[in-house]
Amino acid sequence: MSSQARKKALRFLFQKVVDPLGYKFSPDEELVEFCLEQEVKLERMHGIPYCPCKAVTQDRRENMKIVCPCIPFHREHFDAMKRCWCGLFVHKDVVDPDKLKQLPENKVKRG
Amino acid sequence: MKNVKLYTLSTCPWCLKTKKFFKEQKIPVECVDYDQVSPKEQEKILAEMQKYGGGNSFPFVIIGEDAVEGFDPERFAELLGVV
Repeated sequence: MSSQARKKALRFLFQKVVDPLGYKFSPDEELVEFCLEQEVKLERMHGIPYCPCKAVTQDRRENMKIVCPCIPFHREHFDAMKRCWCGLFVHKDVVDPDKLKQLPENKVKRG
Repeated sequence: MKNVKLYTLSTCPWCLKTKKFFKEQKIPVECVDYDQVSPKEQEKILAEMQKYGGGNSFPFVIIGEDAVEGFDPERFAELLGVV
């Protein structure tokens, strides 16, 4: 499968996963294309489309927490930022993703 | 001038923005792409990030004695004293 076809397939798959979680693809189409391109590369390398901004380690259990879309494993953190770490997905009400900042998980206040 | 170390991933768009920020500021940095080094080196990098309270997220920027997880140009500038 070509890289373009795989990106299209990942879009289709991810859309179905993130929609019920209250997220959508970022309106920043350039960022979305770049992230998906990297995920296709990571999938070819590791067999799994990991988050392009998280460390793949020797610990398979930890690695499962960064398989895209990794929102369910980082719900509180991502909800506080209204985006996932790499920015591929944002809350459905987000119009301008440039206004959203990456906040370290330990800086996000726990309720 | 403070020493600056960047831990990045070659696949991460925010790491590219971080590299660009320091290049535009003409600030010399030591930069390591985590995904381009051996598993042994990767373990050392993660251990150093954890020492600063970091997790497994990139970019991870060490400026002097402080560390910033994520792309935060305002915080970079503040720590560099170029605000």
